[in-house]
Amino acid sequence: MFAYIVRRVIQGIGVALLVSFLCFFLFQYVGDPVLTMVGKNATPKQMEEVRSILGLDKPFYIQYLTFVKNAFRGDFGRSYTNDLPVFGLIVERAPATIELATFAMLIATFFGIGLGVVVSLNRAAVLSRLVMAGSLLGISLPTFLIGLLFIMIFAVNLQVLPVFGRGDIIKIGFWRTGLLTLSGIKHLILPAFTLGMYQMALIIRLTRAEVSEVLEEDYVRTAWAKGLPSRIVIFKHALRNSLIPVVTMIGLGLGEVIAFATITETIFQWPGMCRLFLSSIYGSDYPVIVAYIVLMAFVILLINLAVDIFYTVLNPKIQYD
Amino acid sequence: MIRRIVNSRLLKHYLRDPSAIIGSVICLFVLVAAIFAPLIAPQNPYDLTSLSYKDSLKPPIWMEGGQTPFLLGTDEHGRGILSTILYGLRISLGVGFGVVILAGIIGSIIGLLAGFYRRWFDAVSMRLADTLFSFSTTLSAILILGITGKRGILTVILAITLADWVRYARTTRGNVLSVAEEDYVLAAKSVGANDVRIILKHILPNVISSIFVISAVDLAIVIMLEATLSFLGVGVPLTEPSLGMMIAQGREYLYAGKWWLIVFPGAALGSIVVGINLLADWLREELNPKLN
Repeated sequence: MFAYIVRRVIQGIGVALLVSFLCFFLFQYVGDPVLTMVGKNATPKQMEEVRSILGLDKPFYIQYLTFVKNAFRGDFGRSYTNDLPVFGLIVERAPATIELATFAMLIATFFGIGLGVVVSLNRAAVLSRLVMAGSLLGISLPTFLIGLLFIMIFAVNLQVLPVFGRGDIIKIGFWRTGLLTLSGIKHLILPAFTLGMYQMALIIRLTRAEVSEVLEEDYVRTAWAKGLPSRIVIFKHALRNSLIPVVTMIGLGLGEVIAFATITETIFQWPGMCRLFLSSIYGSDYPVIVAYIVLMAFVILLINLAVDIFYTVLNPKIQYD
Repeated sequence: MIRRIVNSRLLKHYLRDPSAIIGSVICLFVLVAAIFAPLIAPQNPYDLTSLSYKDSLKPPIWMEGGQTPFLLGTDEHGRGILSTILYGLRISLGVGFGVVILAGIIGSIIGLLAGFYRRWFDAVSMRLADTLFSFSTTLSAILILGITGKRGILTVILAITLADWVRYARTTRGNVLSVAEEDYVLAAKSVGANDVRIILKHILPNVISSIFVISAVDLAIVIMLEATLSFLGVGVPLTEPSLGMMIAQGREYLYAGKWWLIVFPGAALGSIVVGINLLADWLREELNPKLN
């Protein structure tokens, strides 16, 4: 197991090196951050000065090697737009995104698996049909549209939930949490449901398909025939054996949730790192873009590792190495 | 021929599946609306001479202040919502089909080659595919379009394709791996059939149904992605009609009670994707023998 983890981490570093290399490679062909920084009225001499201060006058592979050397020391450079260290900018905003994404995924997993099981037990019931119709809508409405509809319903018409920012924040060390205040939790509800809706719908559909299939298996029939309580048949025999594909999808979904957090954070003015990423894209803020992508590579690596380890819990037959 | 179609299993199952029928009716309706948009639309929303600021932000026709020919109201520039939706559908479907065809062909070829030849090509292409896939198509497309900073329908198609081919490549490769061990493939190899023939005649026919199923699901995903990219302002240029961009503009009037700016384009977008997903579900059940 340990060797496996080490191998995966080395792979992750490889991926981070590769994607950051691709970013640097692309940067040399597109947009000019210097132009955005100094404005159109700057003289060519001023522009050259800025360029050499930023190191942008050097060939791209030198820029890249400098970046890698510094990155290994935790220094990702300074943001072009506000001259603050990029690492600090991202770390400062990370808790907001982590809280949002975690809650979205918890909502999706809890309701997704729960409703998926309910639906597969009685496929013809009215409730099941409603849930399946809802899940069809869930996979058919893009996240930004769901968010706007929620705002229209809950904030503009009913005026029951806030839709702007994180509410009251309590600082614990560097971590700013919104989970310890009532206003913070209220602010979390709509963004988290918006972000979780698509994944929830996917999980409902997959769980239903998998559980329905497993319910036909001989060992489940045997379990019913033995007169085991339905709780045990459903959760221990049927659900546990259906979960591997569902867990795989939840793992993939987490990566997707972080991508879609860009949209949710924009709509709800959520002060997280994904919104920082989007504004860095609008503003050609290269250091922020690269640092965010490298960080994402590691986050995704961690998620995949966690999923792999969870497989061994679900099915002890699975072993690595 | 006609009798074969009438008696086929596919048609019987289709007629017994109400959601497949609803799905195809929606898709057909949208397709016709998109193709004949210039004939149906009451106004050409991108002909600047036909726009007037007098007409801006009119509500739908059944509400007070609504006026003809703007059945579903107008936006801030005086463009009819209905007309803009009809033209926007063309972009949605154009980008959708463009990406599905391009990414489908590229991804399937890479998947076929990776699964058939294995070795370094498999290792390199699948590492790349895993990386792209775990970053998610959405993030990759935002990144590619954001960094290049170019706007255009073709650019959007290419950028999404660059992020999206992995969907086809991964599944196709997996299926090729299992088919390549079948007796008929080994037999073809042993009688000295060349690789191209084996791939086209013996492997492709056995993996193509799953490629079709992925394309259907992918079409829905790509249409949503295009809308999302345009909503974020990194998609199609401002000069083109796009459902995502309409919704982005409507967002500014969210609190002003101008709900028609979001609800109608949103409903149009939602219905296309629902229609495609219903058909995709039906296709999956028909073509996936595991579920039958």
